[in-house]
Formats: sequence, C-alpha cells, structure tokens
Amino acid sequence: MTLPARSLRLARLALAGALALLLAAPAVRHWLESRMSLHMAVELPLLALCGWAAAGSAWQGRSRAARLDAQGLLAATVASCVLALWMVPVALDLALLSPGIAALKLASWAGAGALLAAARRRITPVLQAFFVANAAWMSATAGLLYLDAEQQLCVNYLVDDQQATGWALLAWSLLLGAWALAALRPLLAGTPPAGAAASEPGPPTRESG
Amino acid sequence: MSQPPSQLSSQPSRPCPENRSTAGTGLTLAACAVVLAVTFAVLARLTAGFECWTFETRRRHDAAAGRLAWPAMALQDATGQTLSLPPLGPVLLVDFIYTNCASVCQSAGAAFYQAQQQVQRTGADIRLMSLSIDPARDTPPALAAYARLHRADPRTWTVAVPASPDEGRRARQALGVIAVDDGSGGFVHNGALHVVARDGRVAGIFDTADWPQALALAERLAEARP
Repeated sequence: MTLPARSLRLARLALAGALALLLAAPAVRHWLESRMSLHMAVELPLLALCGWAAAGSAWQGRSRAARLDAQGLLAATVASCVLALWMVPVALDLALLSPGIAALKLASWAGAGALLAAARRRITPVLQAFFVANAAWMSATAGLLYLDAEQQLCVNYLVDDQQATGWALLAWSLLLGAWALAALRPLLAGTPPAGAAASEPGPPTRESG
Repeated sequence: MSQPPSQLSSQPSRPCPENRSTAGTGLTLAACAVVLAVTFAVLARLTAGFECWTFETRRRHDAAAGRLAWPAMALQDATGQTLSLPPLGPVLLVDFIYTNCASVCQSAGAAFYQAQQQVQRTGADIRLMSLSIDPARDTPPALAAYARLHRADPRTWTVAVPASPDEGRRARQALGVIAVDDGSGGFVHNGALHVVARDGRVAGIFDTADWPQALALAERLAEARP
C-alpha cells in the first residue's frame, strides 16, 4: 500500500470511528431521533456514511466478494431494499420503541453503506444510474406522501415535523437525481466508463486493504 | 489488471474467464433473490402481513387479534384513593386524557358522558376510565375538576392518574400509547378508546368519534359472562 493510499485509508477509518462515536452518544442520538426530519434525512444517511467509511476499499479487490457482487448488483439491491424498508412509517416508529428494530436499523444502514463502498469500483454507470434514480424516485414519492398526509403517520412525531420530512426527502430526491445523471456522464461523453474496466472478467486482482 | 501469458500458462486448471463470469453472475442473482426475500419477510412482519403501514393501525390490529394485554398498574383517582387496573370484574372502556387539554380530551369527555348515560340506562357491567398522561399536573383536585366539568358519575366513570410517572410510562409503553410534547405545554397522543375484556385483554381500540362502536363491543363482552 502506497503512502497516500494508507493515509486515505486511515482518514476513512478515523471518519468511521468519529461518526460511530457521535451516533452512539445518547444525547446526539436522542437529538437526531427527536424529530422525524432529522431521523430520516440526517441520521439514516450518516449511518450509511459510517458503514461506507469503515469498509473503504477493504473488499473491493477480493475475488470472492467480486464474484458474489458482480458489477455491484448485490450492493445496489441491498441499498434499495434498506431504503424502501425505512420509508415505511411503522418501521420508523418501531426503531424508537423496540431495541431489536433499532439494532436492525443501525446494522442495515451501516451494512448498506459498507457494501456500496466495496462495490463502487465494480458497479457500472448504467447500473449505478438505474439504482440511484430509483432511490430518487422512491424518496420523492415518500416525500410527497408525507407532505400530503394530514394525519400523524408516526405516533412519535407531529404532523408539522412530518411535513418537514416530506420537504427533506424531496431535497434528497433532487440530490439523488443529480447523482444518477452524473453517473451517466461518462457514457454520454463517449468515454469508456471507469466501472466497465473493473467489471470485466479477468484474473483475480491483488487484494488490497 | 491482466497477467503475463507465461503466468497464465502455469495455471492450466484455472477456469476460463467467461465461465467464472457466468458463475459469478449466477451467484450474484441468487444473493439478490435472497436479499429480496429477506426484505419481503421483514416488511411482512413489520406491517402484519402488509396490512398495517403505521404503528397505530398495527396496534389496533394486534388488539383486534387479542394480542395486546392491558398491563397491571396502580392508580390514584380524583378522591385520592388508590386502585389498581385492570380490576377483575367489569369490562372497561378506557381513554387517555390530560386535564389541561383544551380540545381532543374535552371532546373525549363529552363522548364519555354520553357513554355513561347509556351504560346507566342499560345497566351493563361496564366501567369507564379516564387515565391521565400528565401525572405532574393532574393532581386529584385537577382530576376532580375534569370529572365535574363532564358530569362524571363515580359509580360508572373513574377519572384517575398513574400512581407514579414511571408507572404511567411503563404501562403506556406496554400498550403502545405515545404522548409527544406539542411544544406549547400540551401533548399529542394516540390514546383513543380501549375496550378491555374481563381477562385483561385489550379487545379493541377505537377513535373517540367511534365511541358507540366501542361501547357496543364492551356491551357484547359484558353480556358474555364467564
């Protein structure tokens, strides 16, 4: 491992550790979960970022992981399922009321982030754009439903907070939409996509990390 | 990325890249199918078979299926007397209130007055209970004022507060009744009306406006003597 690569890995691990400590602190967790908008639009993405930073490039060169997650399809599927699951109001309420569901929330978001980090070199632009656009569409739909609902959907959160969450999810959907378009840029520009080379079948690459 | 030909030729048993790629794709698709199946199963469990997308509908679904038990709790009524819930005997119709509430809890009081009149008319073995979620402010005098305001007859309708804040919190948690601070000194809560059978099982949860249906269920349960 070269010096810049090692520094990058250390920085990533430091970020993961700092985020884990921050999110585990009862006061911070209580604050993030005290409002639906913070819970959905800040805490959940931070958990994914924590998993992303912790995994880094540790697995991306491993042939076994590459075989199980060809072209990043498994990581993208896991991330889509996790996103869909935590858009459901009953899941969000139970994450506050049941320790088992709270643990499932932490594990699923951090795990999805870690799998995406491991797959980021393997995933092709088309696959990435498809899944990110799907996440944008899902966030926008949930956001519009939250904005439209006049009744409390979560017993732990007030209606005005629910509407703020709707706006926050719409903002996320715009970001994700922009990401999906950016993922397609190499194809539109006619340059060979970076992910394509990595996804081509070939001998196992040297293990990194 | 690629290895020199000499290195490749020294490993004749290695499968060709196309075969490895096909095997990898198959493995990935199988893993994706497992992930989808697990997500489907988790979602089915969380939503009680894709029927309840919110916590409150799931709670009502659990009650209707007989899976919600009323937790034992000690109370203090408007006269300062200590009692325990659920009492073995009458069917209970319970709502959650706080006396400082200017809207929902007052309409709940009005609905309970009508229910009280009907219970006294029919003589059904049903007791009405209004339980406070605000033990800090709802002292016996405050409860007595609420009872007076809504003409609660203590022979049929008890207005009470949990014996301690912890006791109330524990019981509400067991029932899934969540009170959220509304930011202006009050609460927003999902209390509604709970019909509690003689065996302590919550038999149904209804919106306050649906008190006639709640009372009808309580009457059916009261008629079916053990």
